Amino acid sequence: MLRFSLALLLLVHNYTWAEDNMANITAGEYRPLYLSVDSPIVNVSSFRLDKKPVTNSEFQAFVSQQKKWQRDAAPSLFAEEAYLSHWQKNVQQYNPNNSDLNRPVIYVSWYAAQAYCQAQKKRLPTVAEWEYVAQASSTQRDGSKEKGYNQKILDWYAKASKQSPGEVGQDEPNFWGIHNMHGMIWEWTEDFNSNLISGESRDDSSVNKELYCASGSSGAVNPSDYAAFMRYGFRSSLNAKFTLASLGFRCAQDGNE
Amino acid sequence: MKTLILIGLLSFCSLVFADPSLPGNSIYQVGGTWQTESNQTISLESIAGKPQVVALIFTGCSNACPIIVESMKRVERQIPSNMRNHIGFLLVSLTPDTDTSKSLKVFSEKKELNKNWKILRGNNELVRALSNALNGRYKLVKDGDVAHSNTVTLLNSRGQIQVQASGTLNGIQPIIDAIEKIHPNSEN
Repeated sequence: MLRFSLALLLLVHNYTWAEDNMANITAGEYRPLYLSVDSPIVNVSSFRLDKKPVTNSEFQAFVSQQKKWQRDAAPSLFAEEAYLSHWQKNVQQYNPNNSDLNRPVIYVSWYAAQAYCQAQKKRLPTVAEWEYVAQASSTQRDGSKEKGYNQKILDWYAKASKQSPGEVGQDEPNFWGIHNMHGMIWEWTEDFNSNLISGESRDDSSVNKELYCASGSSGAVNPSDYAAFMRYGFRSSLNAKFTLASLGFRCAQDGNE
Repeated sequence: MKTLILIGLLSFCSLVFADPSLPGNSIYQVGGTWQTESNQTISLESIAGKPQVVALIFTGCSNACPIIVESMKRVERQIPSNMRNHIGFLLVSLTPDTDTSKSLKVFSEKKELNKNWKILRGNNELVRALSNALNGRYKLVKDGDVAHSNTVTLLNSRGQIQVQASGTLNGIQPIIDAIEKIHPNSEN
């Protein structure tokens, strides 16, 4: 009986633990910065987001299940040479260093990130979802108007990533209980390359015109939020197979509506 | 009987694992199961075998897509006659949520696409992965419209990108030039 209760307790414990890894984000509106003042507001439906970026330890558990995603097995279509290049060869397979276990996984491509999230029955967050959560400060849903908020993020961008990222979850969580949205790594999003459509799509005249306006900051909603512009610029420079030293990810899930 | 079981096992395996002989940079590595306009379920790997001219399209659009399909038909018209049935034409729906197999069929009939053409719909994750593999960009915008790049890609028989060109009547020329260099019985 004791054993049974213990097992039950463990089950309940595991369940709540799993639940606690994600935060519920309530629906809201968000006006993408790269569009002009008259551009439509994007409605973000309620969803769930990982509280912390995916760690090396979590990614290791994934690749040991799906051999296709091991460092030396991923097809070149899906990942550049540098894929998981910070992991060490250990007899039969590549593993992260012990000191990296709780640090965010980096050197991962968009495809690898997508595959990881799918294996957890999750998905990558969209740009809109990510930015919606990223604009929260520690006390407010929309922290972008708080004094010093933007400067703090820009200071991090200015520092560049000279040292490798620290362990996840050590910072003060934001309004939603989410850690490390700023100041640690850049993160993959599901539609990372869809926000600035370049000249190759010039036949899509109506849409392109809007995006053309966006190429200058004068018509933008909040020109002071230079940090967000930097993120848009960075994202649109990416290719899905890129694997970079400062780029990781976290997963999202649809809300329970 | 044993042979039958073996064949069954083998075909099961080929469904589960992507073809190991596919090169690492083949876009067929994206894998997954897809529906055709004839409501067949196929694997992406099954497209391998002959060169394909590929584009991602939005069947509901009135701007770029008709131009893409028209430019691909121009490619088809210009193919040397001995090559005609050795090149496939592949259209992939950018809006699988609204494009049913049936509406793809209607699109195919309206555009008078012959048996060398296929239209595929997958789930949104697969479509995004395939679009990324083809260096494409797209965005779902208001009123169910889609902004997307109008690139047309020539793949070799194993799904490796050979040439990419703009899907306009003049822009498509590099694909025509590349096809003219393919020998009907060559590996490509």
